[in-house]
Amino acid sequence: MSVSAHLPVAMVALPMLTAIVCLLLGAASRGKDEDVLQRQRQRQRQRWIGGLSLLLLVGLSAVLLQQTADGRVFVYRLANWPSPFAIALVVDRLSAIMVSLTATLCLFVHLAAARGKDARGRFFHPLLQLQVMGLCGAFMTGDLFNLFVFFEILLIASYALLVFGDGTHRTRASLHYVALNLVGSALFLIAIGTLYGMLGTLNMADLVARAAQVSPADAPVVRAAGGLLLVVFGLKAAIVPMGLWLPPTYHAATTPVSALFAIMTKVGVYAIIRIFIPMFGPQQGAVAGVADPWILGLGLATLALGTLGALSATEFKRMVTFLVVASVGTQLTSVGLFTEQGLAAATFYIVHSTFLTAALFLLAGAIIHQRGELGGRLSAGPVMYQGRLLGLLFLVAALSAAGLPPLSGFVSKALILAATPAAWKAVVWTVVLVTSFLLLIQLSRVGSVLFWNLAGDDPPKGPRPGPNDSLVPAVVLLSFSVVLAAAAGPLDDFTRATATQLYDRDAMIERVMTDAQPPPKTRRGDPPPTPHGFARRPGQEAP
Amino acid sequence: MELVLALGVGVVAACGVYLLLRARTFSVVLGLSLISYATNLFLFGVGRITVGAPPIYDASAGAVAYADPIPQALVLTAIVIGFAMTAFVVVLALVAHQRLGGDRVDQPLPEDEA
Repeated sequence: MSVSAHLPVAMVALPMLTAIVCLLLGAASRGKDEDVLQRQRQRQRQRWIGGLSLLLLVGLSAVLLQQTADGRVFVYRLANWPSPFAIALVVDRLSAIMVSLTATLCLFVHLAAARGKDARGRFFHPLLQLQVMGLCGAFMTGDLFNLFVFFEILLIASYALLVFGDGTHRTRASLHYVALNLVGSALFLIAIGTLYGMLGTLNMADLVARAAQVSPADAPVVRAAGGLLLVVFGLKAAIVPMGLWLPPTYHAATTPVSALFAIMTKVGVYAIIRIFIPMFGPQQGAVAGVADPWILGLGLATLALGTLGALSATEFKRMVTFLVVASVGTQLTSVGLFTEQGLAAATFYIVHSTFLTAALFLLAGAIIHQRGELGGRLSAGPVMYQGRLLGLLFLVAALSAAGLPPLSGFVSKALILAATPAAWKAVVWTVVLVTSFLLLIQLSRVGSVLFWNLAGDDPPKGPRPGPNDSLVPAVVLLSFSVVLAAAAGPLDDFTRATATQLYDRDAMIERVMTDAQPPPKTRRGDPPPTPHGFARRPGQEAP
Repeated sequence: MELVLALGVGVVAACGVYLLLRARTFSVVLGLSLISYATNLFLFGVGRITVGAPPIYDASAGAVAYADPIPQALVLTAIVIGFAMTAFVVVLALVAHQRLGGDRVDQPLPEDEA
């Protein structure tokens, strides 16, 4: 195997090792309170190691992106067991996009946190690295149970990151978030168990192949498992009616963590794409179309709810959290069209909205910091130190969020509208355009209040906050909005190729199931390497 | 035996859901644990129930009964993850109780009351 064949596993191993190193450094800085200098030194080391590791990860993911661009699919079988017994990492174009997105976003989150927010506890950096590991794993795994495991890794890291920095409101929001996600995990396990019991495999490609051949008598159970999976992924993605946990949770988190959570809902959307397009697609015989009637409707409802929530918000950061809900709705609407163009547009939108949401959260943090005791409340406030700069950044973000030209929000929404088949045009166009218009109104209102509705020239009471010491991560993340719009042509070609690859179910099954090299000789006690020789209702095979 | 297992899973899950919907964090934590136990039992059952069979498929011995080892491995993983999560949620509930001054799941924030 060439070195590049090991890339997928490196993307998981690198953040894991970094997390361990940072954890040890954090633990070593435990000491008496007078050891401030030593503690600072350890934190500085954590920052450097974490940052360099993330930089390396961005580089690796770029290589992955470049390698998969021509249609190559990495299938990394751990311990080189033959398929389908190997627990595989499968990296196609979509995985490569998501992994690059994760690495890039987390690098900027790291930079934003390293300006001082990470100093509220000793373990921010190990948690961030664990989160990256879980995200990368979830985006690359080709095994349904492994998807569960990586979900748990990224969730437990997110639980801890959510309460990071103390605060009573964080504790309560976290309690709800944890309880909901534990129930979600239980449902996920039940769905996995049901699928395994009916189909006898957990390898996703193998599941797709076997689900197509399921007998009509068994089909309802498999379809029920599919429905459960939709509930679980819907909970992670925060779609209606399971999405109401998101605004209080994201609102409670500290600024860099909120920005990091911009990618968390995308995990749910990604899992919906990964499971429902091949496994319950139109070619799947008796189990075809489990989610088809649901996804589009729920997407539109989520978009509407998110927009209404943003309209009713009286606090800046809370409005941004509702923008997250609305963006999930837009992605799901586009996925729910169940066409290649729709999926391509959804992929484009995912890239756009991840960067934009993170930038908005960082910007909200900077603005709230400037307003002192008033926080993000939408009422007349003091003159800000960097009013012009912040106002300009807010303008760019708002234009992109509302979908006005010339930024990436416009391009991605236009792609979604163009991808809508004639049958759905009336509904989808109406909802998407009306919600965009309402968001535009709300964003204009918020901008006017924050930057123009000033409470006289008198300095506000209480200690005046100093200028934000770094807006660089927010500026760079926002600039992606411009870059994505400028590079819309090539990116659109890439996302279209991604969608074609995802819809080509047979090619995917063949790639994952056939071994690149002849399997090693069967050792004694090994299961026979036939696809159906194992785990197939042992009780029934007995004489 | 299938019926007993199925009923057991059902009863445990029902108790878990009931407790989960209660208003105090202690019951919620218990409910979450019960749900995860029910899930683990269910996972264990998906490999079909066999008695006295080895978890090894021996092709040379012909088609003999064997216990499916994969659900066992899955359950083991799920138990470990479940323990970690339960530990975390217990600590979180304790912290919430201390900070919020009450153990209701929707305990109002101290500053809200003030």
